[in-house]
Amino acid sequence: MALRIRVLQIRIETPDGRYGTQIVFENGLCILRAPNTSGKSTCLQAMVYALGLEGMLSASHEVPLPQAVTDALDDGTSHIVLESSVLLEIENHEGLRMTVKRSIKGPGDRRLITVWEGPALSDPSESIRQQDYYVRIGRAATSAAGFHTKLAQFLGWTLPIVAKYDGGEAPLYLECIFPLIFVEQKKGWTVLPARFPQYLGLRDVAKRGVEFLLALDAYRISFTRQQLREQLTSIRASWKAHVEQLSDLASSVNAVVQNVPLEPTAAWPPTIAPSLQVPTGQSWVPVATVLVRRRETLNELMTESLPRIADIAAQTEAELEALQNTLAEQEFVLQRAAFDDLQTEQNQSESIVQRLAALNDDLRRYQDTKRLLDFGSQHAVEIATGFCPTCHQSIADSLLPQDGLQQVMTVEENIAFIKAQIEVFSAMQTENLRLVNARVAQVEALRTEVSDIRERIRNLRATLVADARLPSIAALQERIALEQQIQSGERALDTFDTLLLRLGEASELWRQVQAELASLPEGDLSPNDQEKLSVLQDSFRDQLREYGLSSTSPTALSISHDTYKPIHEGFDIEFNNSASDLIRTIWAYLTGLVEVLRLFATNHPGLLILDEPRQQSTARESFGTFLRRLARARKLNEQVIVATSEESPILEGLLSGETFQYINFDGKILSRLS
Amino acid sequence: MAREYFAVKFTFSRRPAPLPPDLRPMWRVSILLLILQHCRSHRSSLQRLHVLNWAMRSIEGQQEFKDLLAGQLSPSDIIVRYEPALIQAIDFALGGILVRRVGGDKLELTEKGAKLAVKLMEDQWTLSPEKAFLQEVRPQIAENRIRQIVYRRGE
Repeated sequence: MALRIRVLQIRIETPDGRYGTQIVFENGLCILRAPNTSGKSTCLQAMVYALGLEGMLSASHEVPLPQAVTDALDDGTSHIVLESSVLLEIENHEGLRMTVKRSIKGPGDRRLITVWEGPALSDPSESIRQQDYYVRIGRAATSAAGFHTKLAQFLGWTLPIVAKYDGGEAPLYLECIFPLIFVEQKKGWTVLPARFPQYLGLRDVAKRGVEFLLALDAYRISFTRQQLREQLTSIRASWKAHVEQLSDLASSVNAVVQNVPLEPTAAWPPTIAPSLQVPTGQSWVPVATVLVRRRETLNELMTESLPRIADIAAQTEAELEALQNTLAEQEFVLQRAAFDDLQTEQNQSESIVQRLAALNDDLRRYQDTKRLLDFGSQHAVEIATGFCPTCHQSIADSLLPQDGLQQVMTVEENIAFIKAQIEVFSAMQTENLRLVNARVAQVEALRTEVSDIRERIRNLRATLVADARLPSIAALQERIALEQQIQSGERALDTFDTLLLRLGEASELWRQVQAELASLPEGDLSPNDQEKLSVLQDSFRDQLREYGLSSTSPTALSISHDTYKPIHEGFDIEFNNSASDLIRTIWAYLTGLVEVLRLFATNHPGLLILDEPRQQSTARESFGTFLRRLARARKLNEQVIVATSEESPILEGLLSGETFQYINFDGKILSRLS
Repeated sequence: MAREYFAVKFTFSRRPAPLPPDLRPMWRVSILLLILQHCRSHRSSLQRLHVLNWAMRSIEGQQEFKDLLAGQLSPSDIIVRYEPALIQAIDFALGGILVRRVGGDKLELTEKGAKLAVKLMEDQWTLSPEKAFLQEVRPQIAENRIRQIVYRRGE
């Protein structure tokens, strides 16, 4: 995870010859000094452009470089720019070099970056493989032909996938990380901690950038939590689907499902085993038991041979008479069940629905009333404040006659009252639906029974009028019917078991996901994350003390565990009166991010590029302290490139005794090349 | 024996009573303003106010009124209720100078009332079913038509 700038080359072809510059950068603090408007910012922005990162500065697709490299170069006389390009040689943590070239003006496609996988600038003799990559088009950060895919790979970065505002996902674009590494002169110093591009549509872009550079576990944790929650939702959906299938299955055999929880549960199987129950008379019996009984009856019947009519005529007549009585009784029971019990429940159900609708309408009107009261008091309507508009005395909040009126509830109390009623009626509705379902099953079972009896009566009659030598039709039919009932019951039980198995699987998954959720840390930060943030905070405060923060005490500032931004006693920092304190805070924060790298493995490339960090006439002593702190980078093999227009003697004074690379131009940086 | 049971000291405390939302003055005054806002010149006879007030008190009332306008209901089926609560609401509105009397039996919005009515119309979150109902019936609630259809007069 490292990035070092090694060689920058700008080439400009003019009718008057080749212009440009080549600058070699070392590790540690590199001061690029030149007078104002001599091309420092051009050099730094050219680096950004070479890496295809100009999207971090603006959404525009124009070349973000000044006239000198795009139109005409002025060194006393004007030289028209025919062609220009920038080349940049960079090095990574493995010591590997890579050289990139991007055209600024000329026939080449500006969306193309040519890459040499080696030191093409510092050792041009070597022949190196060369390949073109794309930038600033769709998928430049995801496709293998995209330069940012290539660059991230070179840096050893695996970019997290983050959420977008439009609901989609995208990799954390490099343009959203580099604002913490490169600070541009014009707008870069106006926002704390850095100016992030918002047009790319990534959610919480600043947070994600810091999180990535510090390699915090927080993102992974919150991402995992989100995924687990989504898993829970999908388990719940499939659970409900299975429960629905169960109740469809139950009604196909006139049964109801017992003891299956409507919501997913980790406790599976339930203490009382789930079962399919069918009504018989007044009580409910499991389908399995009914099946056993039917099988026994059938087996018994099968051991006997089919009786002949002649043998059973008397018996059949008796049975017919008995059955006719049973039929009359059962028809009466059915009548009562269908038209009294069921109807009562259904009426009840209807009135609950009506009541709920009325309550919901009342609730809406009351919520409206609450807003209306706000409007009223804004518009000086006296009744909105509980006073009579004529006599200005307090009145009851009611349109009923005012005298002798019982005290009425306030609007809030009344809303709470209605909500409580809605809750009660909703509970009643659930209970009522359960009852209706059971009653429907009962009625259906009775209907089947009645029609079975009728069928049997028909068969008995047919038996009595048939040839006496034939086998009994009724006995035959009975066997066939029994067999059919057994088959359909068995099928239902099979499906029931399969569905229970599915529920068992879902329950196991539910338990696992719940356990995983419980094992995540309470907040999103892991213990390691908290240490990193506390190191960042220490470094941040320590620096601010050194830089002489004036508007508040550095100890009043901290690093937020939510946004990772610096905050002041729990609020956003505002530097109303001190623009130079804002600059100091940005210095301290960005440097702090680098310093965390010295104690922890992070994704920070150990590089800072700061264009004219002495803004807003920050005190020179502060600036000196800042530069001396940056100079520590040399021993730690980091790199900080600072462009400044301070006078040479002053810089020497500020940095006396420190080791740093001094790149000084007394005139224009872009000059004629020999 | 029984006397001992009554020796316990009873205390009574007044509990505030719930109220249907349409009996809250602010709600009803707002509805009154909205009705007037939907009338020509922001002006209406008391008679018409009673009819529309009755129609707007409940969802069923709104539906019945629409059926009546569509001729799907015999006017004899409808009893327009002259509701004392509306008279009270009108008094409040008069007192708050949101409406004023014109002639003997007409009411119109004052400037203050008209402003508040506009404000109510602009707020999309409140009273939306009521507003939708008024928008829908607006072309059919001219004074004459109401007299014809509801009171079977002027035919």
